[in-house]
Amino acid sequence: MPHASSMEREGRSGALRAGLGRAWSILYNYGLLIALILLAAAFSLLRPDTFPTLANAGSILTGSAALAMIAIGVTLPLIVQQFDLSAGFMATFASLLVVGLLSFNHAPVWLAILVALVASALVGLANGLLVAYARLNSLVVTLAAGSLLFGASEIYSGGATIYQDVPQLFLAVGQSRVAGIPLPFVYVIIVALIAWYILEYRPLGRYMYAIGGGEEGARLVGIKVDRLVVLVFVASAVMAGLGGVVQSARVGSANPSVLQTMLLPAFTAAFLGATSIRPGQYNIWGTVIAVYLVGLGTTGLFMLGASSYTEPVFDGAVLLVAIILAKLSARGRSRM
Amino acid sequence: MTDEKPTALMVTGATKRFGNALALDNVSLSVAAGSICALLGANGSGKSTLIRALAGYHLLDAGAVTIHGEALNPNRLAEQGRAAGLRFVHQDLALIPDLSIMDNLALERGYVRDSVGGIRWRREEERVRRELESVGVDASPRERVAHLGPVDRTLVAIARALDHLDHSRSILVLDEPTARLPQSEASKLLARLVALKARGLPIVYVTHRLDEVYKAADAVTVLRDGREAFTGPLSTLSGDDLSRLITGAGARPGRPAAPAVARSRSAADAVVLEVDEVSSRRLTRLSLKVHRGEVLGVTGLIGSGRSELGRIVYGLQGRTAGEVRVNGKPVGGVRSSKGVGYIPQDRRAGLFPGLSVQENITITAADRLNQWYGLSPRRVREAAMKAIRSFQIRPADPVAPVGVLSGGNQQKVALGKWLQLPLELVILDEPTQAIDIGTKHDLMTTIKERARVDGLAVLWLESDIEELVKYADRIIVMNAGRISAEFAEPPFSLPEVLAEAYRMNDGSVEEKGDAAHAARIEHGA
Repeated sequence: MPHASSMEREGRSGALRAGLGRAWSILYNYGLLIALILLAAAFSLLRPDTFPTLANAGSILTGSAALAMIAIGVTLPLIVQQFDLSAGFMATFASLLVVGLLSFNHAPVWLAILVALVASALVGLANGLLVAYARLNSLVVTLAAGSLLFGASEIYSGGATIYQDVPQLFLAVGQSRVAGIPLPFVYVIIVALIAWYILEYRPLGRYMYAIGGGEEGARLVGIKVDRLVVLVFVASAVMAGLGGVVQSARVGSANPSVLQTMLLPAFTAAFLGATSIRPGQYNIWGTVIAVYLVGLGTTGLFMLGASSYTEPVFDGAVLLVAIILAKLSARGRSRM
Repeated sequence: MTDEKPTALMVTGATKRFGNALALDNVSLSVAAGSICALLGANGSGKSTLIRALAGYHLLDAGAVTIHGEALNPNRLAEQGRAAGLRFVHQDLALIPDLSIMDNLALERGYVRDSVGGIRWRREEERVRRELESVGVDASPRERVAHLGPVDRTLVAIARALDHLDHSRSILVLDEPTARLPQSEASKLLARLVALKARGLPIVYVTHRLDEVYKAADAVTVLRDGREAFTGPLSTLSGDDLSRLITGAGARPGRPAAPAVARSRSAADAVVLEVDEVSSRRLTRLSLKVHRGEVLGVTGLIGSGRSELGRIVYGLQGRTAGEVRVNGKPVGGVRSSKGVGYIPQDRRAGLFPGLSVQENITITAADRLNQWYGLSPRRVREAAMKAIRSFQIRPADPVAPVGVLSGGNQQKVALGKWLQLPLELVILDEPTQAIDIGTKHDLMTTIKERARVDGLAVLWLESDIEELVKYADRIIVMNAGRISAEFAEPPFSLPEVLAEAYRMNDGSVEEKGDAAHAARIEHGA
């Protein structure tokens, strides 16, 4: 029966096509993770003695922890179509504040951390109120806030690194390991889990994506857009502050000129992250994977003997590639 | 009649077919030098098609166009018409508010330049000053358009269209210039148009306001269903004659708002929505009730306050007086009463085009679906699939972005988003615009079913009166912010409702009408 056999053939090619489609969608959704693994494998082959070691893995995981926090932070306003450009300076300020409170005021560790995070929340609140209720452009508002924070950081630190009299307990917060995993990475995972849960499994997160999908429409279905935008800026600032705290606990000091340079890589990670996991949408795991992809890439390149200018060049190139990919995947999404 | 004046524009035998629909059937139009001809007709009568054909936007299937005695090539109306002095000002004036009058005028034609290409500002300003004088705008050329009143804006757009052309050598076509103007502004604009006419400018203008026809026009052409219902001088017609010509058939115009004949169900059923003496920008002490299980259709021309009524009931817009109650409880801001849904007229505002069908449909239900542990993806998916099935949304794929769906399916998503909830009241503002007939029928049947079975109250704001006559349980006609007529129960007579809506009044004009109709025709309906 020719008819049956042709059907059979069709069935088989249909299954093949379905299989290919499945493979493609895995590649499409997890491309970033696959790239991370391939990159790690490549560096391991090229530098088998130094790259694939526990020590190196630990240093990549901890070294990128502050960046990961800041990147998760800036991802939240991006979801509601807003920018937080103050995140880098926010992290700097929080790191100085927490170390300063310990060093100058001999404050208890918990109190120093709490004060730094509350201060961050207040800055985020100011950003959010100006954006949501005064209807100012978030780019401009947070650019100004960043500059103010930079000035405040300079005043507070006198332009110098703060490192005296940092208590052992604070260092333990940033330098201990649990089951061999460095604590800063544990913090990143915890924070990412919370953010992911809220974004994916709470109405709050769904409302954030709705605002990003169309503010007017969100208002029409009764979402309290303004309140939510304020909340998002507070969360972003607290995440940046947390990044600052983790960074200073890790290195045992605070420097007024380091963390603000993480703003660009943080946005790079958020844009790159939007090409994966949930292509076309900013998402937490995409951001986190992208942070470690960039961190791993930079470390690997250094091990291959690249010069110090490699890092900004690498970051800039990845940012460009990221936004091009993001555009393509958004287009792919709307075509599907 | 017009014997002593030469004919400036003459169109004869204009015919245009879209698919099977005859949009224009052997239509003629003429305007004499130094006179104003009003082009009248209901939604979809062919007015806009005729104007667009003259502008070269549609190619006429048959017909001849003569300007100042010179026949034009019907296939090259766009260039030849412009060269012969035929100029258009559309309803959207296409001015840029933040730029000066000078800059706006120069956008299309360029600036006066010097030998190295720089702008000669003084000459430019002088030139624009003369142009503004010629159309009667008393403003500096450097004034920003945003600072002008609506009448002056229209006149600036006219100046731009005329572009220095001598008044007697041009013909100005205005598409509903008064549609969005309040009464007082409309009168001012008409006075300016009459002044321009006196300077020899022939004007053709499209309108719905019968009262202003008498203030400005010398002659009228009335279209109905793509045919010419009347052409001639205005002096022989009364207002009643005109509205009868526009709506066709033996309407009884001027019927006062009758008190609602209490239907058995309305009387028995509870009142869900009560609008009590509400006043606002456009509404004047408006009161109405929607009962449980009732589909109340509200129509009225642009400026009647129809859409504003919906926005006020949903809490999107403030009111100056009166109260809105849902189930007896006063309503404040958006969705302050959880049982109310709203579909805005602008469909894009009611949807998130980049988000998936599932995300769109379940956004209103997120709070309801939420558990102590958060949203279960399975339950969210089930809720979305249920709505997809019951509304027959195609493709039946919950992860497809809504932006790729057809207009009809997008509207099903917008409706599904609300109707999956246990609503008391839904406000629909033109829910079926630009949707094919089959889908329209499905949507309205679904809504009526929900009203019948679950007692959903529906406030349905609609410009397409044919739809209302087909599906509404009761029809209210609004006019200048008040209720001007009420039709208590089906069957409704289409001509009667039409006549009420187009009754001569101090009102206003239809909403987006002809564009939607043209879209409908081009759809192949």
